[in-house]
Amino acid sequence: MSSESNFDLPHLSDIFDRLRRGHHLCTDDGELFYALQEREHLFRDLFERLGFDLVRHDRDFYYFHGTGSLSKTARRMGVFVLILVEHLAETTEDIETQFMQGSFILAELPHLSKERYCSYMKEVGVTDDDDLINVARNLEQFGFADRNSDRIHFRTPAYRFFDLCFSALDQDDSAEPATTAV
Amino acid sequence: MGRYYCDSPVRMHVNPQSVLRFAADHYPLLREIYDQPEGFSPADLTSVIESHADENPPSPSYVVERIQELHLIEERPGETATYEMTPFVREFFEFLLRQHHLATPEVLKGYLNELEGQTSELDESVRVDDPARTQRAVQKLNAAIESIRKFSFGNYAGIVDQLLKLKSDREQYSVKERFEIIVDLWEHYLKPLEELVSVRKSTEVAFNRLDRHLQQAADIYQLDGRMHRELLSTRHRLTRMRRELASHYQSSYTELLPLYDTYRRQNRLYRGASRLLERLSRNGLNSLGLTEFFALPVHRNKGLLADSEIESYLHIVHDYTPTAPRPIAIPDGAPARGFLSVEEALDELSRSLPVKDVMSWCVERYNDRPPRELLKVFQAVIREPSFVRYFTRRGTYRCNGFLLEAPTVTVHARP
Repeated sequence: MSSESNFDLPHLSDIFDRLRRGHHLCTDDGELFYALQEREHLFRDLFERLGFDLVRHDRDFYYFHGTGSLSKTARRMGVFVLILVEHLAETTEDIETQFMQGSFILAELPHLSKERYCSYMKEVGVTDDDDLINVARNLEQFGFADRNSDRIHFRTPAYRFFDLCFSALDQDDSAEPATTAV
Repeated sequence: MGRYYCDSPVRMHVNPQSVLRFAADHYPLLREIYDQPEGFSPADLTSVIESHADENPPSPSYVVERIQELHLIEERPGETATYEMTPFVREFFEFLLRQHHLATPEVLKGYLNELEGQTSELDESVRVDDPARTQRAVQKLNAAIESIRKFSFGNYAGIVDQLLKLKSDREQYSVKERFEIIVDLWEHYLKPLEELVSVRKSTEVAFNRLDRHLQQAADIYQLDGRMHRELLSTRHRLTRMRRELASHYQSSYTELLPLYDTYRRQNRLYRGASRLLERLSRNGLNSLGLTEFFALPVHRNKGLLADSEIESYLHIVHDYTPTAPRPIAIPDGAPARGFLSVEEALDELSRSLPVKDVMSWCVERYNDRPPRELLKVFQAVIREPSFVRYFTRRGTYRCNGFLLEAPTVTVHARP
């Protein structure tokens, strides 16, 4: 144990409880986030000894990385966001700004109205508005978004979905021969 | 309708002042003609003239005749009774209105080839001392230099125009379309500008060569004032062009790079999302890797005591009064067993030297000791450096119920 380590960490119980349930902590979480940020090495030390891997993302948010399975929930959230990204690319000039700063009314999204998107959502078991609201609840539960009735607004941790997109492209590009420099 | 001069193969000379005066008096008309690059019929032209007529206007037929006389319009090739603004006039309007058309690298290559060709011509003309030939080479060099300068400015201004359009979003572009436009500008219009300014490129070599030849020619024609001035003027023109090329490139690069970076990221995001959705279509959900990407820690509480149990246990501990431990019982009369000190044994042996048989001496004194203690003493004697030892035949010795076998060791003190 490091010489500074102690168990007298502010909001330890709340922070641990949220993180172990898969929640992502960011600045929107106020005191919990700042307490974690100010004593990051102490928290990390403690969590490590309990067997948890605390990850700090470049975009300044925290989560536990593990080997547990989210399976259906992860798939639903992932496909939901991928469709939204593609939709924004075709209808706006700036995906990132619109995604992170805009808010979305679920009923107005194309996920269940555009045929191709409908088929993707069906793959993950989302077929009606109630299912869509459940996906929004999942996003809220894991700290990716804030939800107000049928409107969602993404939080910083949603950048993980962007990482997923870049990662997919890098994997495919590294498998293909280089063609252009862009 | 007035007579049309447009089909004349020879363009008659027009007075520039007359052209500019007409343009000033009829700017709205000319602007509307400019805004219709697809051309217009005579009837359309008449109606446009009438729509821009002020009080006491000249007759439409007069205006039509005049506009043709001044070569402001001409017939579109391959189309009858369709007219368009003359290219030179259109270019003038584009310059004034800052509406620039981007030129491809192929256009630039033509100018550079001409420049290099005329550089060789200049060199040759000076070598054979042909001033008239030198004069012609200088004029063509001036034209090539100004063409390159115009190309550079045109591309720089064209890039800025395109970027302004994108930023103002006058036309709705998606992320994909924006990125394609940006990449097109970068690859096809910015990179040629880079070719012109890069010190590693052949164009820089060509410019340096021309500069050298102009200076040499100017030195040779030192006594010919007019030729000398023209050569130096061309050299200054070349310097100005190179300076402006660098400035145009730098400005274009500065304008384009942030958007290139931004839209590159946006485009990668879009392509990544589309790629994953495509994968979902072709290979199913498992191919997305979402479960691994969003892996969570597995944490299950097992065997933990409830707080109330811990609390009640602590109370028990708190109220507990410890009792003194039971003493260890030692039976009466049990002999106290001390340790055989090896150092004391060695001291005693030293006082008894010489000793004929060390093991026999140990057995006599320590017969009540376990054999292992005797052997420790025996070993210490053998290793003691202050003794001189002699080893002879092996003997057997009885000790405390054990039979020991050891060499007979005689020990003397070391002199």
